[in-house]
Order: sequence, then structure tokens, then C-alpha cells
Amino acid sequence: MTREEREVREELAGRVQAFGRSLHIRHVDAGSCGACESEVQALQNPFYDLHRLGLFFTPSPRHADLLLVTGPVTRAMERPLKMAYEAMPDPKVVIAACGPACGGGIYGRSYATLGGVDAVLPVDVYVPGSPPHPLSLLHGILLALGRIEQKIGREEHVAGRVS
Amino acid sequence: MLGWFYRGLTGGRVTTPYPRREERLPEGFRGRPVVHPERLDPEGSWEEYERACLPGAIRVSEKTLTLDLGRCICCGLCASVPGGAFTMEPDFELAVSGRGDLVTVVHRD
Repeated sequence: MTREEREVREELAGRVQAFGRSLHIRHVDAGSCGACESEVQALQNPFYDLHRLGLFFTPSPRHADLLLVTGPVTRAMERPLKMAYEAMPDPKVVIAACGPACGGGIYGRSYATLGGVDAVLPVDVYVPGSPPHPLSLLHGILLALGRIEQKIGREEHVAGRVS
Repeated sequence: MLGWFYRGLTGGRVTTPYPRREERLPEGFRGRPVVHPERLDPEGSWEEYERACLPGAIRVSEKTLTLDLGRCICCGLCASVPGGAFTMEPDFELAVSGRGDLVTVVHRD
């Protein structure tokens, strides 16, 4: 994580923690299969209850602090996605929220898809899983805000040995 | 209307305590694949794992086996390959801040 990214996260975390200010999420479906949308909507039900943490979904990118992108980014959605990103005020955070958005998933890179959000926008947090569990999404959002620690990392092993 | 009100009163709190306390996952939650390098034969071909993986998250080259969670759909087919080098771990805290953190590499020697 670079210094700039850390500053952005600290500022965003401060905004949410300060009483009376909340964080708004803009969700963009960039060619997703629909499974991730179902999980994103599940975050708003009484069991996961995103609003208790001061997080809200907003229909306008101009009111948003966080861009939640699902899907492998189809070529048709490339420009609208860039427009949504540019319309957001600074500081802004981008979350790639499913397997296809992280690295192509089952779609991969083809004539129709770009194979991941990082081909278009600078991504801050990747949430794998196709679709990710609502708690995985919540972990990703809280990681972007610096309110929770990252649990997994790159692993290197040698075959035949216990590591 | 009154029935709903009564149900809300008697049901108690249903919201997960997640960020403050651990959340118990539902039974049968499949989770993510984890490699057990000690169960991989260094002399084996490992091709059966690559063939079992539908989205191409497991790639086998001459010297390495790579598992990329960024392409994984958590279907569990790699865990059904005989040999048991992959198992599914019920784990949901998978978000990372770098693309490289999603990759696991197993070297042949």
C-alpha cells in the first residue's frame, strides 16, 4: 500500500467514525451474471444490516465515496464505468467485488470482456469468490476503510513438504 | 400487521455481530480452496488438477502449480480429485488490497 492510499483510507475511516457522517456506496454492474447483485442486496437485509455501520447505498456517483464494481467489465460497460469513476468526488475507493471483477473468473479475457476491473480503474480492494458471501463483501468494504485487517496473503510452497 | 409487530418483538435480535465478534458460518458453507503442498507428489504430473478446474484458476506449468483465487468460482471440483491436495476451508474473510495476494504458488523442488 502506498502512502497516498493509506492517507485516503485514513480519511475515509475518519469520516465514518465521526458521528453524523456516513459512507456512501455506488454499486455498478459491469456485466455481472446477477449472483453478486443478489449478495450485495443481501447486505441490506436485517441479518447483515449494513446501515448499523454507517454504510449506505446511493443511486448517484456524485454522492458516493466508494465504487463497488461487479462483473468482468464488458466492452459496452467500459465507458459508463469510467464516467461513474470520474463523477465521484475525491477521495474515492474502488472495490472489485467478485471473481470476474478480480481477474476474469469464468469469463476470462475475451472479445466481449476486459477480464477484470483493474484493466480500467485503479482497484484498492479485491474480494474473490463467485459470488462472494455477503460477509466477504462486508470484510472488503471494512478493509477499504482500514477498520479491519487483511487475513490472507500470497503463499509460496514447495511440493512434498509441510510448510 | 399486528402479527408482524408481534413476531418482531418475540423474535429478538437477528443481526450478525460480525465486525466486533466472530460470525458462525452456516453448515455446509463451502468456502475457498486451500492447497496442501505436502500431499502433492513432486514427481507427479498434476494435470488432473488443471483439468478439474473449470474457470482455469489452477494452472500447471513444468515447475509450478498456481492457484489464483481471482479466477476461482469456489465450486469445489478440485477438492474432489483423488489425492486430496486441495480441500475447501470454510473461510469468508478473503478480501485483499493487492492482486498478488490472491495467488498461491507451489514449486516442484
